Amino acid sequence: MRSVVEWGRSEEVALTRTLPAEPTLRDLTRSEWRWAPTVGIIAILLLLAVRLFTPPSVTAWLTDPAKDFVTLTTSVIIESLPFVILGILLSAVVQIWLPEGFLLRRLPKNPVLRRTSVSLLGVLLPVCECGNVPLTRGLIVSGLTVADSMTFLFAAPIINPITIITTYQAFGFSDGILLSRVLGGLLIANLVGWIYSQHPKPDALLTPAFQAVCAVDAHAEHGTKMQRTFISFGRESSAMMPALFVGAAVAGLIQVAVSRNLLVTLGSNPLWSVLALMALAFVVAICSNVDAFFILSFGSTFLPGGIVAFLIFGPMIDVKMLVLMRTTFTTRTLVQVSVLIAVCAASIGLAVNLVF
Amino acid sequence: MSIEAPPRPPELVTRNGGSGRERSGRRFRRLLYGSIAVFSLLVVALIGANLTQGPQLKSAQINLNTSVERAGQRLLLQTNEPLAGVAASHITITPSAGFTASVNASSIDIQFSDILQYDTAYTVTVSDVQSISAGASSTLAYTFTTPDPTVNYLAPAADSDGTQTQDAIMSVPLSGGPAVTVYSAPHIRRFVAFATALVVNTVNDDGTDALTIVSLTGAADIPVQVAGPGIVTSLKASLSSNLFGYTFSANPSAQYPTPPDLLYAYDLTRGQDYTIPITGTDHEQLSTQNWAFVPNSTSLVAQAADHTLLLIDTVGERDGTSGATVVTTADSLNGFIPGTKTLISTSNGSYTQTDFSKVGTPSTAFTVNSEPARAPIFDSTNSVITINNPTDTPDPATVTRTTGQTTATLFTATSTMGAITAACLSPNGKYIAVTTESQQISYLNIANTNTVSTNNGQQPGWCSSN
Repeated sequence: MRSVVEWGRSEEVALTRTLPAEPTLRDLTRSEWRWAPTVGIIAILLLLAVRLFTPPSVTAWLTDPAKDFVTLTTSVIIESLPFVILGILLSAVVQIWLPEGFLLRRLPKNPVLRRTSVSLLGVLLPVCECGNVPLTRGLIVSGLTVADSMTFLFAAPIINPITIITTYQAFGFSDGILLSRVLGGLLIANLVGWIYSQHPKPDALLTPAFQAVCAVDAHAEHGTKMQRTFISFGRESSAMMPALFVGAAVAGLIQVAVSRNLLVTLGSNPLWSVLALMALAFVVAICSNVDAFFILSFGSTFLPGGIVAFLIFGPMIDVKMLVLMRTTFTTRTLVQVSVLIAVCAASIGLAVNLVF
Repeated sequence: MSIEAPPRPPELVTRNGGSGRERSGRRFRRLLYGSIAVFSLLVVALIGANLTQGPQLKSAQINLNTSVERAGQRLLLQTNEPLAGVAASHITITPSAGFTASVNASSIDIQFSDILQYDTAYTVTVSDVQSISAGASSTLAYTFTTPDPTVNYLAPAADSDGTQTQDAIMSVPLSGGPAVTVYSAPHIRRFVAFATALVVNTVNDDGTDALTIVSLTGAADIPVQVAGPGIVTSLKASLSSNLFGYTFSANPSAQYPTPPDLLYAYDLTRGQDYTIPITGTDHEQLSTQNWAFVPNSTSLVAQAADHTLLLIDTVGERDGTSGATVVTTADSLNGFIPGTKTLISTSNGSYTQTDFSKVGTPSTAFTVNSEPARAPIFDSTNSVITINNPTDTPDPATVTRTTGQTTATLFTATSTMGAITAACLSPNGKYIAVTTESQQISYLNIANTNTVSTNNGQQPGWCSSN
């Protein structure tokens, strides 16, 4: 810690002395970044112009499924993008702006208590599941163990304040949906964290590319904090955005290919309601902040257990999340986690169907 | 940016030959796949339990207040999954009540064909309920208790124990219990009771009458401006419309004519307002022999001095937008059948029923096994209730109910009760309040003739309102 502080001091001194070589934020905003707002505005205006002035004949060749694919894919991207950006920014804050070890020092030493605390961190963060992926990457880079970070990743989208409020607004306390969602989510996340804390080689759970990122000490990088924030933002964005676009496209493709009516028809059966709604959650890849309102429109058709399974499984595992998580975890790990979470969510959903 | 792999720690070799990392790896795999296996087994067990469990009752909806006021009220039983059809023979209601039933998706809609009894616990049981998706069946049961309404009556001064020095209007649950004084005055002639107010007809010291709206919610009393010194000769209320009406006979005057029983109405929803003088077809104020509010409406039926029956909308009278219309003629009014807008009247010794719920208010003559002179009461089951006060025989006074050719005794007065002075049906027609000379009110359940409760007083509120 001491060395870092000293390094930081010397870095500041060095920056003062070598201003032309190490540009400040002001210099940055004056140079290559100064056009960024203008470029952004022009891009938005360009898109608007394309939308307004493109004649219908241009898209006439598109079939209805193709149009559905474009619409569904775009909707998933639009819905997720703000949270991904927020997650990337929070990730940078955790890595760069918080003092090294700030979070780790404040967590309990006892593993169970630590995972419980980590799983409750989401209460402070209004970020849905796609935004939690970059944030989790930031936590791992900052030194949080892989197992503890997984606990955070799977718990945070369910217990974030917006998710809890929207679930309450949609269902109140009826049929134990809200309670089952929150407690079930925490239980599964802690179970996953506990199991993976026993893994002999936690690094093996991560992709080689992300292991390389972890090997870089963010606090040891050159430049001011703002510069490093920009670098971190760029690095994480280049990892996350392609994954988001691919994930959204896969979600759009599956929704076009799989009949939603079939899933809805199955929703009134105690068994199939759970399995069908888990499949629906996997396919639609809807953000945890708004999934309660999405499923509320089918509330009269689906059994409460199916709704609970949808609300628990969806924020943890869906096509978009798998692609996003693939930037961090190995395929083997994701398969294991997906199966484990699926059987846990199904158990909770079936139990709710039995009781309510 | 070069990455150097951290130095690999030396493998710990255990006595049985396996390294610590291998042992940890085995432990992790056992934990992971064991957990998946355990939860998979749990899923299988829960699937079995779900498939052997039939549909469950999720919620039930019924408007209890209207269930004791009107027929045709619905009980909606909501189950947790869509249902196959339910046969009516699988539905039982205890105590018995007529119904029709239908199934729509996950709800069973039971419509009661009759008005339900007051203060009664009904249990609806639906057996052999099956969902459309699973073969298991279940039995649903739902119990609800209908409201116990509050009844009001007038307790005259000089109670038997001498403690009550003023007339009092009392309030008590129909099922019994301690009566509460809601208003008292030296001389109360009559009253009508609304949910939030009383309208009290008191007698002033000079013998003239006063009419006051007494708030039951703490607001100031509102004196009703009657047309000079005189006497209020009748006072009735339409509880559903928040209207009351009265007839007023001014003291005789040498300077101007004072026709008796001039009819007025008052709209309680307007707070402090002027009374509405009711006029006849000649646009002169109506002097009426008898009158009644049409249930669940703002209209009233009045019998003019020439025996014509007039239908008058009180709101139209107030606003000057409508006037009286002649419906038919009648010698006397027997009143409306509870729960309907059908008026029974007597004309030339025969009965006529006039339906005010239909266009043109059709009238139909009919006969019953009762003497019109005995002013029978008609209930909603086409039965006739009659007060029998023998004059020359030692037989006790009775209230009887005649359905077709069958006559049953509802109430028999004891020797200390004396004659029966009044019998009035409850608003839903399921109960009757019988008042005797001894100033005792008995509330009876017509279905089983059981006495629900008794009060010492007179003028039960049921006699002056619908």
